[in-house]
Amino acid sequence: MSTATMGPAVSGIPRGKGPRTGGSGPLLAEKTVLAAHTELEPPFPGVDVLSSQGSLADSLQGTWEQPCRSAAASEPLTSRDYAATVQLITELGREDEEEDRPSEFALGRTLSVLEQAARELRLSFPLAIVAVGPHRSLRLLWSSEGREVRLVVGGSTANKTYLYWEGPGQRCVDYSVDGARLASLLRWTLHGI
Amino acid sequence: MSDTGKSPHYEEPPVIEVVCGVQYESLSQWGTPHYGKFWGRIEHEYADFEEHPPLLRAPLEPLSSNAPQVSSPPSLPPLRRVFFIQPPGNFLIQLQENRFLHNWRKTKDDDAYPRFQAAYERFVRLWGEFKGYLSDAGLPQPQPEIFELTYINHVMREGASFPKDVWEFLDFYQRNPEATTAKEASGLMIQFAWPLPNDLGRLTLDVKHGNRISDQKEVLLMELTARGKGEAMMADWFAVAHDAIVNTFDKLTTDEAHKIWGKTS
Repeated sequence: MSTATMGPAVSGIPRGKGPRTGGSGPLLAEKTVLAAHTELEPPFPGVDVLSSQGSLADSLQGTWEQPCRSAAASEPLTSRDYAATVQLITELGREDEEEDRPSEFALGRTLSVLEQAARELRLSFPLAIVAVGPHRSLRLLWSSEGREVRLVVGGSTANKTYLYWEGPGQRCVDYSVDGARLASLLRWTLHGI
Repeated sequence: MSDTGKSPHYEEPPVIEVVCGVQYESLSQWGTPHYGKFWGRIEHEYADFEEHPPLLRAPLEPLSSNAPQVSSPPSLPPLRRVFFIQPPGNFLIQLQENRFLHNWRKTKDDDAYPRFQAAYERFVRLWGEFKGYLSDAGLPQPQPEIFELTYINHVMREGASFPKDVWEFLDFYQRNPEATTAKEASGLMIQFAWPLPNDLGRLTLDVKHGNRISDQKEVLLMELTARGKGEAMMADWFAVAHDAIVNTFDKLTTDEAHKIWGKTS
């Protein structure tokens, strides 16, 4: 498993513990990899902090995405990239130093949100870059064509859990985190819809 | 339903889902309350429900290059698709304003496939129940546009990796093509379409691969779907579609795979 080694530690991320990117080569540009290290404790300067109403995710859900298939499988298939993302997270959970491992809370919540998203996205679930952040939080990043989504799951209930996304001319944070919302944002990241 | 008696038989087929369905012109006067009123007639059997976005209108012919379906903007959001589910979840009805589907699905690895005849008879019974409800409610009878029969198969073997091992199971090519990198192919997607006998519609095969969410096991997904105009006698159409699907599946898969699935005839 490749582990990128960054220069100086950034915003509480342990030195030498860069984000995990899977074994299939770089997925994202260096700029976005660096962005994964940046401390993102909200609120961000200049970012509109939205409640669960009126957000971009709501407007995406308002497009009435309609599936084509009549299948209703209780065990839908997902992509190899989902399996790879879960594997990256699992490996972070085996780090030797406690401060380098995500907390049990962050692990459990992240895997739950990802599973919900995978049930919606199925074979189009994309590979994430994963990293451990301050307070043993988990940070996941997806990026494509100038659009970016980050899932940050706090190390405990005392820490913030949120989705952050940005695209041309817009940046938002949403504290209503669930798999359906993440799935909508990943569709937007990948396909712009 | 007539049975041609020509179908192969497997003791442990890899089928995980069978869908029988009808698409019809949207029913005038159909509204949200009718879902609940219809549920009242079947709730003793289909006690659970889920709500989902509606399916797109299925075309009989494939749309070219994923062309969007064009229609005038609706004044209201589309009505939902409601699942009425029989606990523990193997049988379910999917109902929306222009579609009635009945699914059998595997929910546990040791669920036995009830066989097509049982799945089809349930579909016919519930379709009749639905038409009976419409009649009692003073709503127009649905005019079938398209019949659909879908078989979804999850092909798995301990240690198998796809697409590398796909030709252990599929019989129509010998191996994956090699690209200039000389590395194994990392992805595979195949789609074929054939006309059904007597111009009764179209049979499509989709082959993909993926991972099960629960245990990450690799799966080769083979989906066979027959669609035909809803002008034929329903029982005759489903008999033709069923024969086409199971015989095509048999023909496209290897003898080695047939042994794994316990082919007996």
